[in-house]
Amino acid sequence: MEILSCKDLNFRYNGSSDDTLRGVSFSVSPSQTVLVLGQTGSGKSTLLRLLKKEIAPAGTLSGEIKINGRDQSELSLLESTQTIACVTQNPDTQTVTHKVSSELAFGLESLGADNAEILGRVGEMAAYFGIEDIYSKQIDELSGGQKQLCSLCAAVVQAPEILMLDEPAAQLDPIGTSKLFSVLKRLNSELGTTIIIAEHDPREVFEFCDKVVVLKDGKATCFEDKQSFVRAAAQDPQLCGYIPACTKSVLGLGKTVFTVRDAKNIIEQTFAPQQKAYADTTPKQKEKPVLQARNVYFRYSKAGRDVADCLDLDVRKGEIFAAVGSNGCGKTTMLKLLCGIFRPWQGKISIFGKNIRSYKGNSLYRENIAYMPQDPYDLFISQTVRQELEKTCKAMDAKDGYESLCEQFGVTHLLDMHPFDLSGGEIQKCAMVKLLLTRPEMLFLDEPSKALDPQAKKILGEMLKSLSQQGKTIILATHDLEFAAQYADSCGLFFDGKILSSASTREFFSKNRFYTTDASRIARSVFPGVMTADELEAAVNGGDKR
Amino acid sequence: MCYFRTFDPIVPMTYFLCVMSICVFTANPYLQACALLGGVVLLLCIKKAKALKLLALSLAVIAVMGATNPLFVHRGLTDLFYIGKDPYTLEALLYGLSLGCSIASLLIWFSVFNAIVTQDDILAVFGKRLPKTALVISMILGFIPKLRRKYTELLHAQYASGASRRKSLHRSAVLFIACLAYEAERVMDISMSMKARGYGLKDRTHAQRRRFRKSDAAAIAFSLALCIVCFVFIGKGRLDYWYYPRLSPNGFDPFGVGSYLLLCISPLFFIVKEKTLWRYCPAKT
Amino acid sequence: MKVRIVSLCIFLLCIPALCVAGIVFFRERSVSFVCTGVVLVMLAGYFYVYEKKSSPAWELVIIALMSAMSVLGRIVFAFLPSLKPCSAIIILTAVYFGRETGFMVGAFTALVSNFYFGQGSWTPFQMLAWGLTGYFAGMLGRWLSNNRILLLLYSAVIGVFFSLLMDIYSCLWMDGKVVLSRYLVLISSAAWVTVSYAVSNVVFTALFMEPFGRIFKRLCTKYAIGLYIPEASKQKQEARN
Repeated sequence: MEILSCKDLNFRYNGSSDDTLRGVSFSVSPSQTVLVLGQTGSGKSTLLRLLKKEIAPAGTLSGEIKINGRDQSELSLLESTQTIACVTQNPDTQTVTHKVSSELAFGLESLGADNAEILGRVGEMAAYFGIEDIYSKQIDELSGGQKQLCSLCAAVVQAPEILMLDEPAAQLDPIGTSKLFSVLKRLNSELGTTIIIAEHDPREVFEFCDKVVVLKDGKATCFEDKQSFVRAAAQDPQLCGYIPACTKSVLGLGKTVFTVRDAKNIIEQTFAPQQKAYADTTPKQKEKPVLQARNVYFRYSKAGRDVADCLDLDVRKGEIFAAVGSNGCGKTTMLKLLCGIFRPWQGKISIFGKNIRSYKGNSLYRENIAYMPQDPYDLFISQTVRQELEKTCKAMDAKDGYESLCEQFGVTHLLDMHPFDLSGGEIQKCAMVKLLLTRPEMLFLDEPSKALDPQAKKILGEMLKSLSQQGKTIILATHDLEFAAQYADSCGLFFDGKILSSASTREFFSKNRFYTTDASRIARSVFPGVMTADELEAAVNGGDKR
Repeated sequence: MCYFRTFDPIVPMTYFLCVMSICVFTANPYLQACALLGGVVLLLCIKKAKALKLLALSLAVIAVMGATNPLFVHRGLTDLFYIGKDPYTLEALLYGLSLGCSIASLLIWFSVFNAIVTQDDILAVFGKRLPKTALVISMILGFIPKLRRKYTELLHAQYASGASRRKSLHRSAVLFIACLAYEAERVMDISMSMKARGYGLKDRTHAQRRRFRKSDAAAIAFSLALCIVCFVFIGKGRLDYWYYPRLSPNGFDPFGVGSYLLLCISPLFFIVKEKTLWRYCPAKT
Repeated sequence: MKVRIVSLCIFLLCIPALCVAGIVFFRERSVSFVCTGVVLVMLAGYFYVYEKKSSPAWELVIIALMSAMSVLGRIVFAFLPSLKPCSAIIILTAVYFGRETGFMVGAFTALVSNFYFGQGSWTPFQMLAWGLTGYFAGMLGRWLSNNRILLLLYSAVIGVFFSLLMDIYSCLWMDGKVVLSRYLVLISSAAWVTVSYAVSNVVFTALFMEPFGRIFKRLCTKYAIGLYIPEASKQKQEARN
């Protein structure tokens, strides 16, 4: 029997004129892992939230949702809590209390469990998931990955039969992501928990998922197994971005695999190692460095640790430079140092050959540099996008200069909306418009590809490319290696307060053994120098077979 | 310090309530001396040299209260000198000193209280009877660092768009409002997460990491018993003391004062015990 | 209802009992004992009643958020000497979300900010004073939310009231009872503080009034929470009639 089934779901938000979901039907058997794919705005989150009636959005719903064969509305709050648990994208909007221990106990406290039971169950779970080290910490001290792990544990403490996750890894770095998914895998394989997961970057989910549901414009297509999904997606340019690099690489050979290991073996067996390394066709001309940092030291407090520790950096004009590194290593601090938000206590930073300190007043931020924070919403403090852009124009003494830029970025229809009502991709485009209004020559972007779907990522990447072709220098900090490999001109690993092994992107990724893209890992021994999935695909299609 | 941790948090709180309910309201100089003595010794034991500042402040408070009280109150028979027409009396001076001692002992005891009773203790005590209140306090404590971080991020974004670094009321207010606008929506998602985890189902409970033991009960009984003994003596009038019109000759009852002194210095027993324990600790070798 | 009756009985029993105890045990300083006791009993009673009431999740998070905001306000605006936005935030929350939320925000602001600035005997008095600031604002919400001048006036008056209440507290601790001459001296010496309370309340209320209302109304429409907006309820009544 199905543990969960939907039939002909139609849903329309209050005040909206369009249906968000149109005739969605699918069913889930016990202990299955279901992957829900779809672009931002395709109704993924709406669908997941509708499945749990306590958090269902306000609107009109028709069709039926059955859980364990009973209609959803028949379930009492107690039964519902014990049947379905839910984890969402942002760990900061899920943790209720200030300590991990009380957060884990929250669910059981709501059920009115007694003290001994709460302590016993929480302890048991903390031991099972291996989070004893954070158990007595304050939530504020945790990293993003630990926070998300904590909210996952807090959600499953009541041992639910179904676990729903809405883009749980969108805010996490690769290490946090794989830790989270390894826990999910254990939940599924050791406890038989049914998992329904929506994700933009489903690389790690593909390994263990059983079923794929694709949402597009409110309509659902179900694929009973992942192979059939991969076959269908290979034909569809919109779904193509969801296929992981390892799968994509050997598709041309008529095989479907889901791990780097298998793909690597197949390629090594099929192809003879090539002597000539894959190289950029037109190497960029070496221009003069426009951003120079020498011996930069920075710490937050006198007694603290140096976050930037003898940092040296050169970025040339028209280059896209990506500083990669895990979360919490100080990439953001480095960007803030380079664009003058923080002042180093030692060392010199010069921009366009001029010491950053000798820019008087706000001249540094007018026609010179612009900074995009990790959360682009931070740039919008007015009530509508238009007001914010008008304010920037006014500060720049430019009259109505924003309309053409808006058109160029395709955000004209968003101008009169409240910034908080925009999706991650939309706000990013608006933020970019706002930054470009100051006519900067150098852009600093902090995690620009975070929480974007593959298409939005692609649009962003193209946008950056065209900006750099116009001669603008772009410096970005990211943990998204695939993104850096695809769009950056040069990369550097930020570790221990400095940029280590800074090189051109291709050199960087083919030199690195661990910290590199999946495509590079697969192709290393056969096609040296290949670093993105597209290149690998091309190489495979044109390679000499053994 | 560790020793207090072995008790249920209700124990130190009851203890402080017992001590303070007497030392603050009594006018009896013997009881006040006991409270001051106990408080100062405890403070020095816990905070060492850091306590000196507070002790100096307390002395200043006592002096100021003593000196100023006769300016407002002109009762008492022993006139020291006259200011204008009004007498400056010895009794009023001493009464002022006694008031000063009340305030000083309050300051000192609250300082000891803050050193021993932590946020989590207060939450645990609230949580037992008022789980919802404890939940809200815990939420506030969780929100404050989140809000602070958001505010800093907004401020940095402002710097990077060329805003001046001078603090101004207007700009801070704009950012403060932006911070609220942003967090208000995030917070609504938190309420969603609460509902998803069964909030509002039944009467909430509150998980206590520690169980109430016999030793806790004994410690509470000890504090309460000594406190009640004092109250009985106070009620019987054996500890009555008055300053006006002339200083009272009595007010010293060995049992009453003795039991209060015992109450005030009883934590010392644990501090000494702990020190010896660690000195001859088998775990050390 | 049952909860209210029980709490009423407790009030009626506790307060006289405290008075008697104070007079029996501490003749000279009975007033301060009774006052402290009454304040504590009132707070305890209020919290007990609130605890027994079932409140939706959004109400708790709003209380927590606004209390956290006023603690943050104390930190953010620390560079302005003696201007604190706490009362303004409490008043505005109470106007939009009703008196109970207002009281809780006020009480929690005092309690939690003292986690950072040090607990003391003033904590209960501060809790009550700020709680009442919110409670009255919530009671008058119908008029205050429609009339800006009235709102500013209220915040100025409540600033003075707050200062006078805290002066009574200092007086109680200094004398063990309210000595009028001492009280007057205290009031006049603390005149600067009183004025700064009133001024900061007016300044911050004026600054926050419009944006806070906008933010709360947006929450109300976006998340369908039951905002206590007098105009809305009035309209509803009219519609019913």
